[in-house]
Amino acid sequence: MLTRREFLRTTTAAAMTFWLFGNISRGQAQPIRIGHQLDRTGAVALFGKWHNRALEAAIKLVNDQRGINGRPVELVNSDDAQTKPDVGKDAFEKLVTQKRADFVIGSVFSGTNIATAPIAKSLKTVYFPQGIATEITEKFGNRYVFKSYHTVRAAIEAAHAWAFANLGKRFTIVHSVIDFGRSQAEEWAEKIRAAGGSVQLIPVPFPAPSDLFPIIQRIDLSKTDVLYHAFTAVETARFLQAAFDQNLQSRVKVLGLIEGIDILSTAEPWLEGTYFISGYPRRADQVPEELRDFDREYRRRVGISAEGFSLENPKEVVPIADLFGSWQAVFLIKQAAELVNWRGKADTPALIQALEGLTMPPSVNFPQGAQFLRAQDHLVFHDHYVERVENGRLTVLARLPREQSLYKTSVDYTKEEF
Amino acid sequence: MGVRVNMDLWLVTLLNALVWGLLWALLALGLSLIYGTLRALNLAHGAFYMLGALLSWALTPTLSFWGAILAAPAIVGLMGVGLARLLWGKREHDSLTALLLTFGIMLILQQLATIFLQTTTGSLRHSVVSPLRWPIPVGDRFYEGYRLIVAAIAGGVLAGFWGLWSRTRWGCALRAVCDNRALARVVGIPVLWAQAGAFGVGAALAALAGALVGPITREVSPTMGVEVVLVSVLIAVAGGLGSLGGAFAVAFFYSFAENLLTAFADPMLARAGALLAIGLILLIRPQGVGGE
Amino acid sequence: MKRWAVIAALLAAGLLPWLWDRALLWGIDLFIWGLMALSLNLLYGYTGLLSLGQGVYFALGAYGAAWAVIYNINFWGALGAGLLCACVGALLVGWVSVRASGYGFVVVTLVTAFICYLLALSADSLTGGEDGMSFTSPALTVPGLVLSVRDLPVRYYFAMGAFLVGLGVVSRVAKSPLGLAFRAVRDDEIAAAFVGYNTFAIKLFSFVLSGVLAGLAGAIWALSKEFVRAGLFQPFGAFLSAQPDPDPLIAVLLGGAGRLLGPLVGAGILLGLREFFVGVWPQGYALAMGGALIVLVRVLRRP
Repeated sequence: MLTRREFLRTTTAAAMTFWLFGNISRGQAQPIRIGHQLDRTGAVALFGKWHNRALEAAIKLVNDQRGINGRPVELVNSDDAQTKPDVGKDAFEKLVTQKRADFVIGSVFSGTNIATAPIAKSLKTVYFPQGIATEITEKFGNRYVFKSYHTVRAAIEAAHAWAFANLGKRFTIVHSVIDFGRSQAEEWAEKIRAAGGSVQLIPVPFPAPSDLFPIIQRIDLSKTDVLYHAFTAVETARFLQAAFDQNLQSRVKVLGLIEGIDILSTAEPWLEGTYFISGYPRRADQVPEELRDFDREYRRRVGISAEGFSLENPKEVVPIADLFGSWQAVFLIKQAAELVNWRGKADTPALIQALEGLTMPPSVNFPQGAQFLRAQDHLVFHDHYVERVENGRLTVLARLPREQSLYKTSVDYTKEEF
Repeated sequence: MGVRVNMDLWLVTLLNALVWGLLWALLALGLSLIYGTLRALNLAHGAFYMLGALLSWALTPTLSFWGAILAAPAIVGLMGVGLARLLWGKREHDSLTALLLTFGIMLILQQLATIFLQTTTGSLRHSVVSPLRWPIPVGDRFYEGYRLIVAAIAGGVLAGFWGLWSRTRWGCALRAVCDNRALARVVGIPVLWAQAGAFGVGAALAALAGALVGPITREVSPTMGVEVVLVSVLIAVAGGLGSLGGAFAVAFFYSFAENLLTAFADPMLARAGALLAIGLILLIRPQGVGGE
Repeated sequence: MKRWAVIAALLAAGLLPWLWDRALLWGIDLFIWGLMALSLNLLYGYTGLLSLGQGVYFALGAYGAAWAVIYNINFWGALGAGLLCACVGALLVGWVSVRASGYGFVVVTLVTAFICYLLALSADSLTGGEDGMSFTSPALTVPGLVLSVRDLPVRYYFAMGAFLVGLGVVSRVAKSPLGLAFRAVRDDEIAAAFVGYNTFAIKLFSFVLSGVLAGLAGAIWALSKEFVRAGLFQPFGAFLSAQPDPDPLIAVLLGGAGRLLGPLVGAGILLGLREFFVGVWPQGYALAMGGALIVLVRVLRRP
């Protein structure tokens, strides 16, 4: 029979043990928080969901590798950024001020990235935007903004020579007027004119009109070798289907960035024979041999099949060419944080300096291959691929090394104050 | 070669303007009809359009496309009758109250559709596949045969409606309710049922437009009706609220303006330009083309 | 309205940054959308004109301020520019629309809002289209202090200040002979004209004043968020979003049309509902709004 004295003694001892234990563990394992500026709704909702999964998987891998400087890492999600720049900006602010995120991986929507960049600096938080409009690292970037995978300009710099040599120099570019589309149109137009080609630009309002037939009618086939399209994923499908109605896929070469179809299945007749510039092959057997082991591990951890579908839902296409940006961002943080023994936000300037000029060897952390982060514009340079849909599947036609994507940048963030 | 290419372009643009004119006519006519009988500007019209498209998409696997475009408007029409009985069954509302009621209906229907899509499919936007592929050569270009079928169906429905409206007792009763509600009641016409019926027919016309439009726009989503209602309202008002002929005429005017501007002027300005043109009609004749 | 309740509320609002800083973001939304609802209340609740296009003046206020900042005008100048744009816009549209009686007026406001939205989308070099334009707000200078909108409490007091100014204006006008004229037009326009009121001028004044108040809300919004986009013009644009901002019409009906603090209460209820639903069932929010609207309209009479 337990006497009251024994009971009191035991409970007090237990309470003290728990308190002591709690204090000890609290002292040791303060987690590092990586925030995600997440769009759950809107045009980029499907991208947001998968970037979030990639981040979860990356962070789990980091924690399996003993965390960063021995500390565990945890993922903090923002409120829904709704594919709206002002909402995304508020979500970022809440992430940093209320949820105490130490670093933030950004939205996929370029408009949101551009709106958020200034407050990343004022809130002294390193920000990894996942949109690809060139302006993110040129006009609108700053010392706290890092692009963990390419921008439009890098992709076009890498691929334009191949395109002119193999597809033609007379372009018709049909593009959405948002940053993402306009960026591509302007970059291509510059390169085409410099190469002595011709270009016809057809801007399309965003959101795109319900009927794309009249837009397609403006394309002058007698002056077109290459039909280039620049739309968000859902609108790309509508555009290419409308083009297919006119049999354009067999009359001209259709080219675009992979981000336009990253969530679409390629087993569609209106995608057959079309060309894409990508940063990461969708199918595992198209990945270069020396990277295949890393790629396999990467896919396994995020939940992607060898053909680029979700392991949970084989009908769902995973935007794999996009995801590696978020995955790598986590490891960029880890690598730089361990180089400078980052302990808190006060160490962030040192971390930034470590990131500037960082080189990354191929590994499961960087399955895309060897890359480097240019100090002046904070942009990661990596290899590109030209892919084509053949018999319903994306096949790599050419591999374009990262040096080919280098372009002259007009900014130098290393000269900026923190 | 240059002249011939231009002729093709003109031809397909005019064809497309015709097809869309008929679709907008379906929408504007329904809106005008509802206004005429209920004195209510139906802000939920876009929601009915959206439901027609959504139901048609959802029913296609079981009923085939052609079955679905018969079923969807019928379902939405019945729902419209039910809604009208529910909200206007006991008493009449003044115009402003009626407007607010339809605003509420719009919100609810849109959200219900969102919830339905989110829970059953997990995605809010879905591709619509065309039931047939029939490219009709027009010179160097192709015009999708499906659109001509749409034109035939829409035209047939409009003609049928016109026949019912002007030549049957049912149409006569509705016209009476439009002209003078009190007098119609005195004469023995069941005004409340006539109103509910008109609301149902208007909703069904909108739903038919939505069902037909799926393979043209290639996408359905819960928000597809938000801008459609705004354009339909403008067309119906510029045609003269309550004037079916006016709505019909302005629908074509809008469609031609938009298509011609997109093809030959700047696509960025096409919609705004077409709407401004209609706005001009209103400035010149504020009661609308067919209004008193 | 019990005096001590008002004072307590003011104190709580004023001390919020020290009491509960997580509520600051919520408070900013409350004052901005409360001001927006206040502007519609002036037009609809007091004058009986239902406008579905108030968003246009909000957007004009926002863009006016944004463009002023881009041209390096200081903070208060930018605010003034926003108000001026909204005023001019409201004057132009009002001139055309208040001639129309009841229903026609609603339609005209709706339609002009839609056209403005499409024009804003097309002119995307001016407006930034759906991507919008980011800018850096200039410093908020008050005698003796230089403040930045990047500080949350600054944004909060700024929004609160603007709301109080708007409230003061509406309160003064409501008690004045002009306010009486508004209500006369609302209750029976024909009788008002018969008695000698210039109903056109009265309605126009109400329209422009409410437009300016909406523009004030918009300018505050833009200067706080350092961002504008074309979607601000879009009628019903809020309803394209999963978590809409408080719709001024629903806020006015919820809080009581024609009552001074009604709009604030309504905006508060909607914001509270939104917070609640976001955690529990996100899609329920818009559904609840639609349901509330229908119930309110059936139950309440016109103001």
